[in-house]
Parts: sequence; C-alpha cells; structure tokens
Amino acid sequence: MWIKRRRGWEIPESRITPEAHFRNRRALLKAMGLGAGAIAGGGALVAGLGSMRTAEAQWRFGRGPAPERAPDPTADLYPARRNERYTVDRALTPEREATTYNNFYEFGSHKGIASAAQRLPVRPWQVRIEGLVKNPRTVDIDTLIRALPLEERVYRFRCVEAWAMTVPWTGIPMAKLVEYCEPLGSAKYVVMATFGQELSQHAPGLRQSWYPWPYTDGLAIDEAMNELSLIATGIYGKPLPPQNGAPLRLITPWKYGFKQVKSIVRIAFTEERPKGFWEEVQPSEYGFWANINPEVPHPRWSQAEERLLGSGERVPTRLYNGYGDFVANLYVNRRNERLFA
Amino acid sequence: MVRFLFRFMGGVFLGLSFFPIYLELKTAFAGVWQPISLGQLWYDFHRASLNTFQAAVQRYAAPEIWEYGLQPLLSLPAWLVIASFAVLMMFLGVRRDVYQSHTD
Repeated sequence: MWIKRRRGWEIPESRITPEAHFRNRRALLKAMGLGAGAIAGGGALVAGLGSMRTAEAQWRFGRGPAPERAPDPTADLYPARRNERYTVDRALTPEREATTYNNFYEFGSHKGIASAAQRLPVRPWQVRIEGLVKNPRTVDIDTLIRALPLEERVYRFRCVEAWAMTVPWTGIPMAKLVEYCEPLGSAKYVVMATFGQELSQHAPGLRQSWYPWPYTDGLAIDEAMNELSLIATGIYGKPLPPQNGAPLRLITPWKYGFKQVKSIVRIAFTEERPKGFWEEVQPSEYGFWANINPEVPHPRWSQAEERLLGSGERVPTRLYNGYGDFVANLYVNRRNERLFA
Repeated sequence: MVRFLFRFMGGVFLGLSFFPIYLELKTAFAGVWQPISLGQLWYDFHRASLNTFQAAVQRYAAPEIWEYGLQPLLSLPAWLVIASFAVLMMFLGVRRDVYQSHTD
C-alpha cells in the first residue's frame, strides 16, 4: 500500500496563503515598520530620504546644477592691483581646490558645502556697524566696497584641521575699514558676525538651534589695525564665491582659519572681549587668540605639519604661519594669555 | 534574559524622559516656557561629543544622513524621543508567553 509521508516542510495546497492576503500582510508589516520608525523619530529620516529625490536636494549635495546667480555689481573692480609687499614662497593653490574644499558651518561640517553654499543670496546685502562707534549705521555692501580701496594680496592660509592653501585674496585693509567705522576711544575689540536665522532657509546648519548662532568672532583693536588684517571681498581676481565667505570676510593669515569670520553682516566695537563661536562650543580646544604655533598641538592632533591643498604635500608649519615679523610684537605684553589655541 | 534587559532599559529611559519635562517645567515657572530639543539637551550636557558626532556623520558617512535624518530627530522635543525609545524597548521586551496568549 502506498503511503505518502509528508516531510516537515511540505504543506497542503489548501494552506497556501492567497496572494492578495500575502501582499496585504507585507503592506501591514511595512506600515508597522514605518510606524515604529516614526515613534523613534525615524519618521523624519524616512520623510527626509524620500525628499532626496527632489531636484533641490540633489543639487544641494552637488548632484545637480546650481541656480542662476545675478552678476556681482562690483565685478568691474576685479582684478585689483596686487600689493607685492605680501608675497609667499609657495605656489598658489589651484583655484578649484581653494573654492571647493571649505568649512562653512552654517551649511554643515562636511567638505562638500561648496555646492550647498550656492543658495546663499549675497545681494542685496547690508552690514550693520554698531557698538562703540560715533555713528551706528547700516551700509549697503556695494557702497562699502566702492568707498574703500581694494588690493590683492597673496597669503598663506592655515586651517586648524592642519590643511593649508596659498591664495590671492582681494580686499580692503582692515585698518581702513576700522577708520571708516569711526570707533570711540574706549573700543578695545572688534566683533564680526555672520548672517543668522534670517537666512536659515538657505543654510540648514542654522536650524540646529542648540548652537550659538550667529557665528561670531573678534580681534583686539591692535590686531584689527595690523597691516596684515584684510577684509576680503574677492579671490583669484574675482568676487568671492559664497563658499569662501561672500560678500565680505575676515582674513588674518597668522591665525587659524576658524577666526576668520565669513559672510559678515555685523561689525561691532566693544570694550569687553567677545567669545567666539568655537570658544563657546569647545572652549577646551579653541580660544580667543588662536595664533598658529606648530609646537602647541590641538588636543586631538599635531599642528607641527600641514597638508597643502592641491599637491597634498606635507610641510612644516611655522610660528604665526610665517608672519612673525608682522605680528609677534602684538603679543609681547600678552604672554600670560592662551595665545596659541 | 535579553527581553528582561529590554524591559529594564525601557524603564530606565522612561524615567529619564521625565528629566527634560522637569527642565521645561522649570522654564515655564520662570515665566518663559522653553521646549527642550534632544539636540539642546545633548549640547547642554556634552557639546564636544555632539559636535564630534556631527562631523563624523557628515564627513565619513553622508551629509544627507545628518541633514535629513539626525538633525530633524535632534530637533524633536527631548522627552518625546526618549519616551518613544523607552516604549520601543518595552515592546521588544514583552514576554513571549504573554504575547502568544493574546495571539493564539
């Protein structure tokens, strides 16, 4: 007699789940999964990744064309005459490297912010001059740029992250800008601030409400009046692109890059020493003076060497980034301060 | 044992979720109610690790994960995120026999 013995994995046809039910179950499981994700906040992730398909999101991360930008109204001022007093013994960094490898925390802390920053509307743009000044006022950026002399200077630039570049900046000697602002005799510091919440729709980092926006930092008045201090408006003979801090940024080549405030909207003169963004966020790692010194390591890495953008070559870092002849005298009476972090 | 651990963690996180509520109530009694996001809570307690975590995700994983996933999550009220996590832990820790008695 033929006896059929079912093996463990065999089930009768009658117990097969109809396809429609099978699909419903999958849909139910999917919904449950999504629900659990949403409970844990993962809903935001799912919705966010869904929106990655939009053109805006693709462009934002460098995967699509940037929006059209109106021509810079001061474009006729570039290239400005080069001031040969400020030359360096290194080759210029290729423009592409210097304009695509940037830090700009309002757009994120990754190194692909060059495309994200293209959304920043740099016109119209106004700068508020306030604090201990004769005449607090708001000036239009084009009026300001045309009111003061522009020149080109080639400077070394050293980031606290141990990379470096050599760049031709165009800008206004900061001493001229300080004179233009007419500070009172009681002013001891200049504070500069980047744009804030008013432009948060263009700069997603600003939505991180826990950070002390706007990005702020400052200089002592004698540092601001030093001949090296420059308020840059251009780079490589052209107006600054947004990722490099358009339309107005600070350049102090003997200090780490994080001191050099980008996209300035406010210049204030104060009697009290300001606390910069990074000094506020990580005081154990970043201080007010932030002068470059290869012998003072960052708490997490050495500052003895720097990697040159473009060539990738590693070269020794120099005290004050090689600008000691210009600035060392500023710190003679400040030796008790934390000058190099 | 694992389920017990899930339940235990769930209980701990449920308890922790009252802390941001307490902080919010404090601001409310001080006159200005201030909702506390998870990011704010993290920033207030250990800002260096939050900043390092952000840089690590954006530079070594993908900026999109931060901007579209973690940043919105960190912007949610802290008590809601912690309590939700606690509920999830408790759900994962439900004893199988209890679960089966309802499903059989």
